[in-house]
Amino acid sequence: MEFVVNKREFVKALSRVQSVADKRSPMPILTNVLIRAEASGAVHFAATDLLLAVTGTMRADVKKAGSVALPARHIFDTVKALPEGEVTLTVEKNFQARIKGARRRFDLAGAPGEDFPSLPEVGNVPMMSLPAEDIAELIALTSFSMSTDDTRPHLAAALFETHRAMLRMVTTDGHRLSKAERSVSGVQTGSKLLIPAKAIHELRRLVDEARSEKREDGSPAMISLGAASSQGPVFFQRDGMTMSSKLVDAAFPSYEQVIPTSTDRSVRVSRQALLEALRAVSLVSADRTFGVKLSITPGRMVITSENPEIGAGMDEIDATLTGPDVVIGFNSKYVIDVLSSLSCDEVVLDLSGELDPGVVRPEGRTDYIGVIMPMRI
Amino acid sequence: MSGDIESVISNAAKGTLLPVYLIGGDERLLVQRCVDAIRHATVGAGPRGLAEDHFDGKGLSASVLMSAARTLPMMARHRLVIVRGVDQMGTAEQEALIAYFAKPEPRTVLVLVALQLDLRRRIANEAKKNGFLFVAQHPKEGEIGPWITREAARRRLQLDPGAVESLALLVGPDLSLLSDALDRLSLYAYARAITADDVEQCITPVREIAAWDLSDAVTSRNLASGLAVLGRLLAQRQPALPLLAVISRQIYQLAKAKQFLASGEKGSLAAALGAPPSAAQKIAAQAKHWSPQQLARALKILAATDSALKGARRGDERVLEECLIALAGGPGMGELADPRRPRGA
Repeated sequence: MEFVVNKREFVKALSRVQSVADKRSPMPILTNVLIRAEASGAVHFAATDLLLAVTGTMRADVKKAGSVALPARHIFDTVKALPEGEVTLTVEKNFQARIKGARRRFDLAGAPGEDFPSLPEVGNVPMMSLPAEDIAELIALTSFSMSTDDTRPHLAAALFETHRAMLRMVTTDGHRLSKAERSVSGVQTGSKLLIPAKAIHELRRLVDEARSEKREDGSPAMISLGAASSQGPVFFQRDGMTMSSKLVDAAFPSYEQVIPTSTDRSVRVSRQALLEALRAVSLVSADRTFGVKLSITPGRMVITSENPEIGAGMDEIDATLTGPDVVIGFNSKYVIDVLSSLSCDEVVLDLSGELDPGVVRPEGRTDYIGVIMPMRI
Repeated sequence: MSGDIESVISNAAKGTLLPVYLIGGDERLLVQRCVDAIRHATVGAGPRGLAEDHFDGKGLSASVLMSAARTLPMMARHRLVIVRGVDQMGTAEQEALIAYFAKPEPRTVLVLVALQLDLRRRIANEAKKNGFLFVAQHPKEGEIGPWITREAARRRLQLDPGAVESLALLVGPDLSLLSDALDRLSLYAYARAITADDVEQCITPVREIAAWDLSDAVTSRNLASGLAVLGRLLAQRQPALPLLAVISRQIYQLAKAKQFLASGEKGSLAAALGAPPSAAQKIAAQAKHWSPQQLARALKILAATDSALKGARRGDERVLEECLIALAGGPGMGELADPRRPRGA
């Protein structure tokens, strides 16, 4: 196998796939990137950890077709270390790869491309096209409340729901829940996909790349999404890139039951003011829990925290309260996560009793809800 | 203290829960059963849900743990927070936990499992003061058989009494190993009663046998157990004469206890025997199964055995086996012809 390609193109293609390779896998082949050159001039890249797979294609001057599996980390580092300009990759007998740029070269030991596991293919899976911007927003609004506990795979995941012209993403870790929605056209009805956290993080990269590339016709960047079935795999595609992931084979909790249907109190505050106050006051939170107390009366919200070993902190911001006074404790980190993910000027906190969940939503909008369980402070 | 663990399990079954448990000890099966019972009572036995958090103590920050413990449960009455390896948390992190003991969140059940519980550590002392400390220990010798019987009944297994004894003898007081042995026996003797032969066939001896196991078997007049213990002791290359000395001492103690109790002398039996009170109590209980005539005969048998071993005409194992048979009431050393003379000579 032999091809010549511009170094930047090569690095870009490798950077997309190398992060997926499982560098600690007991299966050595999974630590590699598969590179397959076709006589037509297409060079395909693939990496997988058997949960996720990413494939990409670039154009090159292919002198001789063939395939090889090369160590993901080493091929990426060595190509990056070559001088700018043309790079030649040649695979000799015994799958020894020579990567050469100008007068600098590296020899890497490879493995037969045929040893690489076969990856899921889109085939006839129906795909729907969604604006990358919307997917990016949904991820930003919800990914922070995914559980990091791998022993609860149904919570270490994000629920992707499509319903009528609505794309919805929901995550929870049992302490807070985030639900975000976007209206999109061309959506299939009634599909529910539970996508593992690792795939969500890779999807974020895919979406960010799509958004960062300016399109010649000025149209918005789009991502295609499709799943063979509710058991998966799910596919995400953009120009020349396909990401597939297994889906979590478990039921997501009935999240509607977590969201309070009615509350006794509603507080409207400036998002930025509350964010700053929480960041400051939580510096002296009690019991190392980031716990802060919100005392809300008509016209003002007092944020306090107290730690017998350090001292106490207090701040006060303007607030518009509908309903009786309330004092409630929260983990400030959870509220800060929600407020940081929003971009609106004002937020509304819907509250009932001091032991009932609180709801944070952007003022005047219904497409986002953050539910946060309180703390007894 | 394993009774404490049993009470945690039974209280949990009734729905009575504490806000904090610090659980440790050598008996891993009981620790696990205790944690399972608490979990079942708190959040149910199904897959892990919204109202439970599990942490590994190694490298765990107190802020993460306290934050979880202080957060009210989502879609449940209680939040369950389990830390495995609380003893591997740093001292400063443990201090935060100790502070939590004083004012725990009432709607959280915090279960701290110590892998190697050190009762001298501050966290153990503070947990004890607050009534949160539970230690699971291996059962005592006399509790092993009843535990096997209870466990077999729980699993609806039928065990012959001999099988219970053999199992206790071969496996010892480690309940995890006993539970595993019952699993294997239930498969081996599927749909029928498990016998001592089944135990012999399936179970590899893992228990360390000591000389006093032999004297216990003799004084409780359990011939099957005595012969099995003897076989294992000799397989461990234990010399015969010291074994006989241990048996002899125990029989002398029985005789002294019998005499002391019959005489109605004032003073303590322990002082008379030169033994700790618990040992004296055990000897007194065993002495009830021996008449003065039986004890006198036993002493003769022991003397004859001593002579036979020193004569070294026959194998030690055979001499000691005959001794045990005779001590259990069968024909033996004392009634036979001169033991120094080889049989058939």
